[in-house]
Amino acid sequence: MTFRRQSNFPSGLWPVLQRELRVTARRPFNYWLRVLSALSGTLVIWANLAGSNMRASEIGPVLFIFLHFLLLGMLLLIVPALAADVIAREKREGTLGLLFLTPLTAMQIVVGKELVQILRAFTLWLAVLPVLSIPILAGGVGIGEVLRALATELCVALLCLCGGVLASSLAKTRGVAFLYGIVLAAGFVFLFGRAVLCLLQGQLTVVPRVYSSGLRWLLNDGVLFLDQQTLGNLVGRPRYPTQFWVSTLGASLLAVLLLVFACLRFAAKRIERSWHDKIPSTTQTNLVRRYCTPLFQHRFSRKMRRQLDRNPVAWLQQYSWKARLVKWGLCLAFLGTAVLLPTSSYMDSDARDLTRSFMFYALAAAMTYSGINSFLEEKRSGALELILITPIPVNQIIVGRVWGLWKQFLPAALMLAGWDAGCLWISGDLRIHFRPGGLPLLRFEDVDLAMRAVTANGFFALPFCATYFALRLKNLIAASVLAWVALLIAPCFAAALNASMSGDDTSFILLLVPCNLALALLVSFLLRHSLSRRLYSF
Amino acid sequence: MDAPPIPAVATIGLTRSYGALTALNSLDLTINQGDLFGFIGSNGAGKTTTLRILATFLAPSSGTAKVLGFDVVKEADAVRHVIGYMPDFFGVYKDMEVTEYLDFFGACYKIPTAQREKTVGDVLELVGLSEKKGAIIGALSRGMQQRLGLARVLIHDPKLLLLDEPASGLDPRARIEMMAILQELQRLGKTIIISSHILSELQTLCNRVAIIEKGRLIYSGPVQGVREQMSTGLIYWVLPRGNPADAIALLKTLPTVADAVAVDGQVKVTFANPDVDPAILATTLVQGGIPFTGLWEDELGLEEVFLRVTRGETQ
Repeated sequence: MTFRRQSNFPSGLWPVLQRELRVTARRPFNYWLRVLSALSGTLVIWANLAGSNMRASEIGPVLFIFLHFLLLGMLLLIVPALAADVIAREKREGTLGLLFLTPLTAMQIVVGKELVQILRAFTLWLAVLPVLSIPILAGGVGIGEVLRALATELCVALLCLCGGVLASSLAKTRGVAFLYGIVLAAGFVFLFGRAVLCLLQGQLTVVPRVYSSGLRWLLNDGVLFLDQQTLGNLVGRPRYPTQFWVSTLGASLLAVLLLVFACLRFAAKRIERSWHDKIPSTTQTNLVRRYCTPLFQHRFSRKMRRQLDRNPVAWLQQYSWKARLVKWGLCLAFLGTAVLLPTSSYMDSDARDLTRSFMFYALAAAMTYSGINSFLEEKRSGALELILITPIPVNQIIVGRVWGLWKQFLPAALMLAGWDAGCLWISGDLRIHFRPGGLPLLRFEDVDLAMRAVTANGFFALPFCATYFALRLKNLIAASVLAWVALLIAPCFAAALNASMSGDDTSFILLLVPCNLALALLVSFLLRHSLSRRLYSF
Repeated sequence: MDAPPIPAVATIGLTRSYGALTALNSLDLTINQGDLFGFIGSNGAGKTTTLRILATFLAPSSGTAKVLGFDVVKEADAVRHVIGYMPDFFGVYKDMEVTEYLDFFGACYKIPTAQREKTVGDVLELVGLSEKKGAIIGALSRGMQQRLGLARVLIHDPKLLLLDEPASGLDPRARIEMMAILQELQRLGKTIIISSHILSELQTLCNRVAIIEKGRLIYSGPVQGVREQMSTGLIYWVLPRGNPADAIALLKTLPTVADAVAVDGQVKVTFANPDVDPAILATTLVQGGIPFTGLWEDELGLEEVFLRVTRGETQ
């Protein structure tokens, strides 16, 4: 008797869909995500309306652009993250094999699972919809612009889904799946944005601007720091006839849908071939031994042993070759960026700022991922529970984790600071006056010191926030988002204090340091409390 | 006069609730030093909760628990030095090597560097993992990871071992070896509390047991004690030298015998009530001219005792 897989595609899809919908409905994270999305939209509106004396018809387009940037940013982060762990999780938990033992086909499994993720992204968009309608009600935004923006968002959401699907089929661990998902989605969106730009022959209108400026905003400015001039430039009227737009967007959507189908097909083929459990082969193990063992092994072992004696928890952050790969790989990436950057860019402050922001966000993302993911894995495997029943004091666990993260990313942070100082010196924005018999005097000209202070303080406080949210939450994205939101508390508080005192940049920096210290202390206290009382989610 | 020895574990009114669910309900338990103590109960009976409280991982809702005289809440640090807890999950770092893993936990217990290397070698030898010293943990089989867990528990030479399902997932040979290791550890003076579903093994391994159901203690004491307590005095076994059918035919003529059946060449006799003097069986067989070489009361296995005292209720 021959065994036949389910030939009726939709009916085979239904059990997978049902199961996924049930699981999704039971996750409180989904509801929080919707609330947070709507709240961030409201915050953007409030930030723009507060103190603005523009008329409603003028503020409408500004808000429209802002909100769609925000939505694009959210789609770029959330959709790949939602889609990336769906199949990877089944692989990890060993349930993918069980699905393959039923008559379901690989395509049915992939489509059933990813369809629910599209639905999740759609509910997210629905949650933001009331906020999105405010600029349209305010006036100044035409129906064409609304439709174009919606089509853009749909394209971006589908492209992000493609990234997530591919990542999910390639990775097994949650962290790696998220990482692949976000990198692939960003790549797809970037390439697609470039393709549309080429199509429009460089004559920018709202839609391609949303792509190019959206990417620029993600890497550079941040929604609250855009000036009004930039905004004014962004809101342009399309000079092409409607028919051209319809055909452009229609072609774009078709191309994206074809890509989605190709990605689903690839993912299905891939999981069909690789769902069996595999242990590393001898060749793989030998390769790791040969190329991932430190060259000066004895010296390195002694160093690591000393580290282990001082604080075993800090050692945990550094023992594996993967941790060392992240540490030195990031430094190498920074060095590569500095070397490959065109010479002319060193004189262009915008290009420098963009590169610096890119490097900082890469550092912060790596630090957040490393800090949160390793702790989540420890919680999941039960290793944290075993550490907690050893005589290691809770304070030592906290210090160990924070110190381990600082130590892992300090070389990259120093490289970033050195590169920034070098750029400022080359461009003449930083002058060093050597005084006989005294310390050299640094003079900055037209340098955003406040932003640099916020960056430095972020590096200091991020390990505390990442560790705390990794302890209290189960979800990597939620923990990462909340850690970053918590990081903003100190600068916002310092800025508010500074504004009430009518201070300048120097007083802001002087206020930022104690604010950040207070934040770190508060988070340490909460961490200590949670660990001592075992208040954490499994 | 010598003071009485401190019990290894003493709990009084130990209760743990999770919202409306009471996982452990006023547990009074005393375990002496040197005992190999079996902790028996259905799934969700409260065994793991008790072990987690004793391991200082979970705080009780009410009541007290002392481990070797130290309160698990007020003197948790002291308790952590004297216990070794092996949960029902592995808790391993899959990308670490076996020695790295043990070295890490050795450092957590503040074992000096020079001593650590020897200790790691010793415990690996004890659990039979010496040949896997350099292996990556993720590549070890389930049984080997279980052994590694036991090695981790022993790394700081604790006086009390709390083992939650240590033999689950092990093949028969590995289970027998694990039991032998536990007996050796008991011989070395360690107190061992072991929770397991494999009651036939606990029966031969443990000198004392506790049976728990729905968070309440049903029995605590020697294994033999629970058998005697549960024995009804109704069933006896006869080993006839000849054909068991003759013995059965004769014994069935007695008005006090409710049933007599042959089982593997022996005769299982069930009395109608427990007050009958079993000597009547011997007298009848001798008078009937049926030779026999043995007559004994039915001894309950731990599994049978467990089934009798519990109702299989879970919460």
